[in-house]
This record gives sequence, structure tokens and C-alpha cells, in this order.
Amino acid sequence: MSDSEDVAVRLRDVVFSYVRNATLPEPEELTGEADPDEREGPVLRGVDVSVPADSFTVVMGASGGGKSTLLRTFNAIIPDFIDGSFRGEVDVLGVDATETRVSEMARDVGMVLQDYESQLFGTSVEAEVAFGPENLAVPAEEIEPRIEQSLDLVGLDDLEPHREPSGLSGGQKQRLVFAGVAATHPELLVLDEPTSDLDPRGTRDIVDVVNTLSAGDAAGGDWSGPDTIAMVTHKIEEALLADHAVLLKDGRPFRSGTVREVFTDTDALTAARVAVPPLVEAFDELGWPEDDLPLLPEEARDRVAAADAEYEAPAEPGVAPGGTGAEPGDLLFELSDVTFAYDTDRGPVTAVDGVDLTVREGEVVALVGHNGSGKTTLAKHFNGLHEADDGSVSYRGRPVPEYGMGEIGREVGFVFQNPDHQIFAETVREEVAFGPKNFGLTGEELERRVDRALETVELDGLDDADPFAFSKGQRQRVALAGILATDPEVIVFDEPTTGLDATQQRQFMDLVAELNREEGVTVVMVTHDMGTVARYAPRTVVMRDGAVADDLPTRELFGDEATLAEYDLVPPHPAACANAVRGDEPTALTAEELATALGGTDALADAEPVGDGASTATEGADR
Amino acid sequence: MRELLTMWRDTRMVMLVAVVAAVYAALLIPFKLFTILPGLTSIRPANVLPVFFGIAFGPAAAWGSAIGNLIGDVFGGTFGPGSVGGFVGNFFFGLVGYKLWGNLGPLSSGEEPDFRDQRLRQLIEYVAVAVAAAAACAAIIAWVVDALELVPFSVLGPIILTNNAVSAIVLGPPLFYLAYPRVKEMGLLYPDVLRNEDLPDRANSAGAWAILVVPLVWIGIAVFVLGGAPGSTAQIGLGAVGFLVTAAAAYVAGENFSAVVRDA
Amino acid sequence: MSSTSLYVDADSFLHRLDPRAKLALLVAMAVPAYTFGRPAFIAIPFVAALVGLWIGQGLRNLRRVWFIIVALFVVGLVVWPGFVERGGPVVVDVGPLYLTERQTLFALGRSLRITSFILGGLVYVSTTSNEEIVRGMRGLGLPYAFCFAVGTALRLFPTFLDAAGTVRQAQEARGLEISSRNPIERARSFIPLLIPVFMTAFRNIETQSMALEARGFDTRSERTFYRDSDFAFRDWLAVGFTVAVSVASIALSTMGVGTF
Repeated sequence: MSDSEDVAVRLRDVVFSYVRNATLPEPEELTGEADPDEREGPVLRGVDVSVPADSFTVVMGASGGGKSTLLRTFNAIIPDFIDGSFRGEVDVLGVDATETRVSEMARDVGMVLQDYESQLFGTSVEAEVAFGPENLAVPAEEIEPRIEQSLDLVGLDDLEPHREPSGLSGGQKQRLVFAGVAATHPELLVLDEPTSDLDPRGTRDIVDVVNTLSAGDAAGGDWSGPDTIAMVTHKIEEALLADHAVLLKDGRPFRSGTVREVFTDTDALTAARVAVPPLVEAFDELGWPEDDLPLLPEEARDRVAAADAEYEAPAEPGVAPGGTGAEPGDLLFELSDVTFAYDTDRGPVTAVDGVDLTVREGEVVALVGHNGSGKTTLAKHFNGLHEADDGSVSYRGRPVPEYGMGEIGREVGFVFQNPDHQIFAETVREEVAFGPKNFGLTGEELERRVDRALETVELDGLDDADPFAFSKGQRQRVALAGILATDPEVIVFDEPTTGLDATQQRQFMDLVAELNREEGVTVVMVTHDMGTVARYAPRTVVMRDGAVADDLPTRELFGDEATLAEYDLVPPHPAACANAVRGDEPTALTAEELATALGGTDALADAEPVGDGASTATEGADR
Repeated sequence: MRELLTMWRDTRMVMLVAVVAAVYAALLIPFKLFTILPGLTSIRPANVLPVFFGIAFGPAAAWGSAIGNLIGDVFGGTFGPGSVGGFVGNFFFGLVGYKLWGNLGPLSSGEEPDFRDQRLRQLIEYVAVAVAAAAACAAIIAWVVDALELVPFSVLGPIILTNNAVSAIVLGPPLFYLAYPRVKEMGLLYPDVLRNEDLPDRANSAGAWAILVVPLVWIGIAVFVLGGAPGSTAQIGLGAVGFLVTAAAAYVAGENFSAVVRDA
Repeated sequence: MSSTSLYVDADSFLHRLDPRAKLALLVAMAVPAYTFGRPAFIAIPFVAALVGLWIGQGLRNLRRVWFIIVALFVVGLVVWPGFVERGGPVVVDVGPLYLTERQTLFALGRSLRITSFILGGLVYVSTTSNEEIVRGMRGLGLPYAFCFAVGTALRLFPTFLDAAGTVRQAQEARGLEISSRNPIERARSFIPLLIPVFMTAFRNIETQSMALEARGFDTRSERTFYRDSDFAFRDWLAVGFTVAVSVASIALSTMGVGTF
């Protein structure tokens, strides 16, 4: 091809299955829809795609839809490293990647994955960054400036170079991964959901790093950043960093264009089972012209202003959009002056410092705050996993430590962040029955409880399946079922949605909401996800430095930009948009509420396009 | 034995060594104290790992167990000249599993260690493998520690043997039942990871039997015949012979587990 | 996590020594502890190890491991008299307990030996970071892949220790109790702890190996080393010291000095 100079990556007729020695279907057999539950079939089903040189391309699509698999052909992980069944042509930077070893591709292609723990190998920060260049036999004297440049690039230049990576925060670890990859000076950078496991602050840092890299001003020497970036993500803020988007469906590219075009194409997104951005959803609902839907709060505000639309109160104050936590009942938990410190080599470190808190029956309370603010430590006091050094925690008027672990465990369930930290049994059914059995249930009562729990989490019929073979979202539901089967009054969640994609998150949280609405289960959830807080928790407790910094209705919190800024919290997009236009009315927490608030006068339905979106899109194409 | 060197060419095997070592060390340390108090026999859950890893991950488990034990010494505060014995002993603890499973002639069940079909035969085979691994490890460590004149062979040998064997036998079957099929599903069994030319080209059950018998005989003679004060020439000499014969047997035995997996 | 490592982040003389030189010093301590038998002689390396621990600011690690050291010391005292010929004056004669001076001194010497070994090791561990441990191994000529595996294990091990703690909490919250009297049942109750730790560890191997190769890792191809230890004058001094001490102890002990 004469245009190969302008293309960084070109795939032709690529078919790939993770099954070894599989008979791959012929091209004409691959035209129909892929069965999402079919684990054995090919994941890439005749992919023809090219990534323009010097572009920043983002790849989107449903979970398990082949996004990551596609990216893995860019540096020969497929077919060199993964022993599956492959057919097709892959040309990366002028090299036939199907005939090249991964370690050879590493000279020009860098890759960052979601799970930072799996990508750190060094015994020190410095060793970690030097590792890549050492592997590629870069002369030792050239490595030193690269270490400096790379650490500077990711903002870790103030770290002690001999420090061990294990003590760093998640965000710092992921930045270190970026530094290690940048030190190899890749021409093409492949990013696979680089922020999915991070808290908001960590995410922001990584977004900054990606921004610097894509701008090509990674100052220093003969390398100023990768020419081309390819990224998988499902977050709009990140996708908007890119200029070009490819939507995958049924193992093939389905729609491509500028990020703006693709992310506002609600039909295409829905067809590809990708979550529609909330502002797009709201304005589409309001009848705004399809080719001019807003992605960011400022754009939405401009449209409201242009249309001169009125804002009305979207909902009753105090009610969560998810319909949860509506009517608090009796007092359940009373925490007074709770203080807790961890023992370390350097003496005790206070994690929770003088917390007073009450929780009533039927409430849904969100515990928010940055990493290290003490929210998880505090949450572990509710079921006695931690015992307060000072102060008291009582449940229904009786101190929690007075209950046996068996007693309180039955009343107060705790769902840990990572379901893999508890799943062990051979089948789903045995896994779910483990808790209730330990609490002394047997026979029919046990079977009935397990049946109901499995039904609730929509895993009935999968009793005999191996939970390890499940997706992350399903495993999280198995863990929840294991708690539900003990029939608790209260469930405490620690980061229930981390590592789940948008669809899985929504599905999981709707389940939690239903438990609260239908069965009156009290919910305390530790979370970073402001969208989840806004939709499901009428009340939010903000933690800072081990203490309760604020305890207020969620709608008030997200309606008060000054308070949010003080706590370094970013409101969900609908609230940010509402805050800019709402006057004295209460804020809107979700896309639906925003649509309700702005939909009273039909002003938006007849408005003229504002057009800033279109201009942003063309800007991107020139990059 | 070539596979013990060639495995280092494979990235997954190298990673397996590191993970085996890290997991082993992480589970050894909380129970550190029980290793060194004679008479205080305790079922330490970590002691089942080298046997499980040995069968599943083959050569990576030998290196991983050795390194893991060393890390356990370093972080547990028991690092010293005796750690050499711990390193070599645990190397064999991890080595024996894949040398023996499916390679013990009539004693072998011919099945993969998933404790589903032919459970009794699998249990018999497993107990033999676990005892052999525990004995090889115990004999080597007791020999080195005796030669350093730290603790007499007759005291330490039986303690390590019992501790290792009992926890491996008690915890092994449920562990294999739950973990083996999943590890296999992940494609991490060493016959699936290593290339065929890196696997031993023989399976000799006489060699495998020797691995089972020699360390036990060695411990028997050392405890019941020699006994006595540590550092004796006889004890050191017996150890040298026992160790060399065991190592030679490991060489001769090759492995038959990959054939068992292939036929399954 | 800081709480798992015994390494003390400081800048002592011992910290600045090359890790190989420190291993040499460990030998300088172990050889006399091994060749001599009499407690007065073994007390020298024992005290030297304590001094080393003081120089390396590792005395605080004793808080973490004192129990092991005391236990080893006591075990030595209890076990050894049974393996030594009686001789000299009687020290203890209470009922079945009958100990001569020779037995007591012998046992004391052996207990000092084993604890000296442990203390010496503790000095090394307290003053040598993981990074240095691995670099020292490479400096000794061990193959890179092996050193890499050790380094990665050192890097991963605290993660698994944390994971094991979380798993334990998660299962306890579901009513798992590990306190059954029956040792077999007690052991079986470890299964719900072992499996999750295992499976999280092994689930990641594929991703880790992939990430490794994507960073250019290939044990078959050439590589460079950014920071190789250079052996300074003080390191050579340490080696010289080790040779001198070792030769002297071996010579003296063969002449019968300091032995039984």
C-alpha cells in the first residue's frame, strides 16, 4: 500500500480465538452477530482496521467484546505470546507483527494495562524505570537520563529513587508503570483501561500523564513522546483526550469517527452495548439535535443558555433518584468518639480519629473521601472486623464487641472490594452456602436461603457453575449472594463497583437498591464513584484525615460547588450542569433528573445547534 | 534434570517461580515459630504448598519453594548459614512432586490429581508423593543443620518429616480438589507451559521409587542407627551418600506427569 | 508495607558496604562461631553481631524476632546436654536432671552459635535493601533470570501477605473460625483461606508475563545493567578481614584452642 507511511497499525481479516488449535470459521461465516455468552468462539471476527499514524485513537465496546484482545495484536502479544488460534495480517510501524516476538516489538511499542500490581517488577522505583531500557540493551549511561526524564514526565521526580514500589499508592504505582514504559521511548503507546483500578485523584494524575504524552512535549533528549497512542477506555473524560474513535461490536469495528461523533451517536453506542454519557442521554431525551449533543458540563450549560431553557426542581428533596433510603426508621448504629490506630514499625498510625455517627434502619449512606481518609477502616467497625481503640460502636443499643463474631456477622454483612478475596468453593451454590452454614443453618432453611439469594442476584440456574470461570461482575454478585444468604439487616460495601464496567456497575447497584427498597436492608457503602453516590445514597458522609468532615444530604453536597471543591470531590456531570443553571432550585443528580428539570418548557427541543462540539471534532482530526 | 535449567527461558515459568516463592514466603512467616520448637508439632498450612506446586508447576516449583523459604528466612529473622540447607531442602520439597506423580508404576493411579475419579487410588499415590517430598526435604535440612553442629539430625529430622508430611497429607486432597482443575484451566500446568523439547525425554519408575525410598532409609539410619552427637563423620558421610543418590534418582526418574495430563 | 521488611533505611557504614562485602562479613562471623566450641570464644562473634546490629541501627528489629532468638537459645540448652559426654563438676542434680559443667558449657556454646548465626543474618537483612540483595546476587555471578525471580518474589511477597490478611477478614466476616480443637479440622479450616490467596496470585501470572514481555523482557537476548555494584576499597578491606579471621579461627581451633 502506498499510504502505509500514514498508518501506524493496519489489521486485515484478523480472526482470533483464545482456544488452542481451534478451527477458525471462514470469513463468510463471520458476518452475523456474536453470541456474548459463547466463550469458545473467536473474539476477533474478521477485523479490518487501521490506526492513523500520529493519531490518538480510542477503542470502545462492550465488556468481553474484544477491545483488549484487539490491542494485544499491536505488540505481537497475539499471536506470539498467547497460544490461541490466529489468522490474518497485522502490520505495525512497517513490521509484520505476526512474525515478530513480543520482546522485539517492545523496542517500538509500549503497553500499559489496568492492573498496576501486575506490571511492577522492580525492587525500587529506579530499578523499575530502568528495567525496560535494560531489557532492550540500552547502554547504561543512556539509562540514567531516561530515568530522570520519565519520572519527571509522570510527576514522580520527587520520590526517593531507592524506595520500594510496594509502599506507593495505587495512583503512584500506575504512574510508575507509565514511567517504566516511557523510558523505553516507544513510538506507539497502547493503553488498556489505564485508570479503571484507580481512585478519582489517581485517575486525574494519569489523565494528566496521558495528556502530556499525547501532546508530544515529554521534554528531554531525542524523544518527546509517542507518535501514536491507542487506548481502550469507557470513561468519557479520558476518551475526549483522543481524536479518533473506533467502536467494536460482534468482534468487528462497527463505527468509527471522531470521539465526539461516536460518543454522541446514541444508537451506535446502544447497539454496541456501551454506556451513553449522561449529558448526551439527557439532551437526546430533551430533543436536542443529534449532531450537537453535549459531552461535558460546560457544553451542556452553553446549550441551556442558548436555548434560554428554564430549570425546575427535578425531584422531592431528600429522595435519591434510585428511590433508596427513603424512610429511615429506628436507630441501628451509634458510633461515638471512635478512634482506631494501626500498629506499624514506626508506632501506631491513627486511621480513624474521634468519629461520631448514627445510622438508622433502611438508610443508604455513602462514605466518601480520598484514599487514606479512613473510610474503609471506619466501615470495618460496623461488623466488628475492627474494634475501636477508644470510643464505642453499638448496634441496636448493644456494643458491637459484645456480640460474638457469629452473631454480628449474621446481622451485618460485609462485601469486600475484591470478590476474589473470598471465593473458594467448587460451585456457586457451595460458595453462597458457606456463610449461612458457618452461622449454623442447615437443611431446608439453608437451601431456601441460598435459592433466594441466587435468585436475587440473578444467578439462579448457575448453582453448579465454577465461580472462578465467571466475569468480574458475576463474581461480585456471587460474593453479594454469599452475604444475602445469611439474611443480614445491614450490608456494608467496600468499593462495590471498582473494576466493573459501566453496565456491570449499574446492574450491581440496581440490585443493591432493590434490596433496600423491597426488603428494607440498610446499606453503608464506601465508594469513590460519585455517580453511584448521586443515584443511590440520599445521605453522604465525607471523611477526611480519619474524621467526619461533613454529613449531609447528597443533593445538598452535589449542589454546593464550594463544598465539593473544599473536599476535592468532582460531582457527576448532570449535577455540574444543573449547578451552572439552576438558580435556587435543588440540583439534578442523574441524566433523567436533568432531563426532567429542563424539560418543562420544551425550549431545548426547538433550539438551534450551538456547534462547539462540531468544531472540537474537526480540531481533533488535524492533530 | 535439564528442564530445571531450560525452564528459565520461558517468561511464564520465570513468573511462576517468583509467584510460588512469594506465596510460599507469605504463608510461611506467620507460622515461623513452629518450625524451630522441637516437640511442638503443628500443622503449618504452608507445608502443603511445595507438594501442590511441585506437581502443578514442576521445575518452577522447585526453584520457587527454595527461594520462598529463603525469603521466609530473610523476613522471619532466621537467615544464616542454615539457610543453605533450607534452600536445597525446599528445592527437593518442590522437585519430588512432578518427578513422582504418575511415575510410581503400580502405585500410581494414572489419573490427574483432581481427586474426582478413583479417589482412593489417587489418595494412595498422593500420600506416597507427599511423604517422599517431605522426607527428602527433612533429610537434607537435618543433614546440613547437623553438619553445622546446630541441632542433631535425630532431633530435627523426624520433626521436619512429621510437620511436612502431616500438613501435606491433611491439606493436600481438598487443595488439589479445588485448585488443580482451575490451575489447569488457566493453562498454567507445566506440561502446558513448557515446550515439549524442554521436558525430560524419559519416565523411569525405578528412579521415582528410589526418590521415595532413599530419603526414608537415610532418615531411618541417621536416627536409629547413627543417632548421637551432631557433626559426626558418619552422619555427614551418610548425608553425602543419601543426597547424591537422591539427586541421581531425580535425574534418572525423568517425569511422567506430562503424559498423564496429555492422556487425560 | 513497611511492617513486613526488616530493612532499616539508614546510612550507616554497613549500609554503604557492597552487599557482597557484607556477605563476606557474615562469613567472618560464621566461621569462628562454627570452628570454636567454647562459649567464651563464640561469645566474640556473638557480640560482634550485636555490635554490627547496633552500627547498622538494626537493634530495633530485635523487638520483632527476639522470641525466635530466645527460643532457639533455650532449645539448644535443653537438647544438647543429651548428646554430650558428661565430665567435670556437677552443676545441676535435681531428680532426673543431672548436668555436668562440660555438658552445660557445651550446650551454651551451641546455643551461642545458633543465635550468632541468626543475629549475623539479621545484620545483613537490616542493612541491605531488597534492591541491594538482588544486585549482590548478580554481583556474585548468579544468572540474571534467577536474580530477577528473587527480586520479583521480594516485590510481590508483601502484596500477598496483605492479601492473606484481607482474605482472613473476609472469611471471618462470613463466620469462618480457625480455632477448632481438633487439629485436622483446624487444618481444613485453612482451605477457605488458601484457595483465594492462591487463585488471586495465579490469576495474575498470565497478565504479569504479558506485561513483562511487553517491556522487552527476554532471557535469551542481550541486556544491559544500569547500576552494577562497584567494589570499593572498603569492600576489599571487608574481604581481607574475612580471610584473616577465617584463617585465624581455623588455625587456632585445629590447635585445640577454644574447643572441647
